[in-house]
Amino acid sequence: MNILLFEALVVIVTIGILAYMKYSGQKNVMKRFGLMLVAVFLFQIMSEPMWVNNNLDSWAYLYGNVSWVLTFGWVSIFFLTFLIVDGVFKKMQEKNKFWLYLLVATIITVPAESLILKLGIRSYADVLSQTFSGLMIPLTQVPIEVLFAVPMISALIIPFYKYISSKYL
Amino acid sequence: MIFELAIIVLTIALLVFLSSKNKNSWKVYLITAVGVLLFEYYTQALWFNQNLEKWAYLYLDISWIMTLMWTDVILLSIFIVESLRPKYSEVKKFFMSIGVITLFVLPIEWILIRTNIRGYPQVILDLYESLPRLFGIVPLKELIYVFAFMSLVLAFSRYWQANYNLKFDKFNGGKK
Repeated sequence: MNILLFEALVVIVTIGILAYMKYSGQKNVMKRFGLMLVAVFLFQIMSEPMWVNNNLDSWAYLYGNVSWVLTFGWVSIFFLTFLIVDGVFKKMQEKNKFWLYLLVATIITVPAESLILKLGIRSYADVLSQTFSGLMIPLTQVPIEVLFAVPMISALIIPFYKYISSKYL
Repeated sequence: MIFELAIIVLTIALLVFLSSKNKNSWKVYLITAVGVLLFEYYTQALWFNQNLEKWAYLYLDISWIMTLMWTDVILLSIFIVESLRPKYSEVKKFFMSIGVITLFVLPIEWILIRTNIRGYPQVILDLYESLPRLFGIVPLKELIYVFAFMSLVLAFSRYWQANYNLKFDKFNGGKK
């Protein structure tokens, strides 16, 4: 897969998920999209020095190392997670669904991370890779630490989105 | 040692004070501390917490003393905003809290850097130097980080307060 195809795929998947949300009756879809962009972007501001996003086309970068295409990718992962968990466990309480959100987001992220590693888009800064154990998730090039990092990222991004959207959307 | 003990004493004093004003205080404190700890664990590669006593560390250079300190700052800021402006909308109170937190963070970071408790890897120092330092010491870039960090942690705390119906917006003796 070449890089342009990857970028186009991410944008198309994002549009597809947003269209599905709109089609399934969710309100304020674009506001929700904007809010999730902010949540992911806040995290990227913090974690920017920890990884390197290489080889994307120049228009795919917002500034420095931060790519809006990869931000769209994260937004898609979280919205897909909500669609799956909220769709399957409609009556479950929010505080219980939260743990399923973390699980599903991690399951979706591992192959996505594996893909961007294979494409040479993602690499890790020395400051981060020095903390890695060297173990990989079986059948992937993804460091085992991703299995801890993704639930942690999600555990902060999801509450931000849920809290703000519950108050203002 | 003085720093660690001061934080512990301040934490106990704050918890006793807040508990006298709102019965959910210690639960909210615990939730907020989890949020701070999650963030500290995830971003541990970005800074050093050094020169603390051995017992003050949880894992590598993640210190529970620092977790207590940041949690104290967050809860005290929420208390100040909720006490002074109880009728403001949630969005105003949310951003006011972050503003108050930032006011606390400036002198705290100044002290941490001066006492050599806070350090940064070279890559982060280079990044910080890309923007000016406030008062010649606190990197402006760090203030951007503070905003991002506190927005996520504060929302984490509010989200779990709502999930467990823990009201933390009314305090005995506060403005009605």
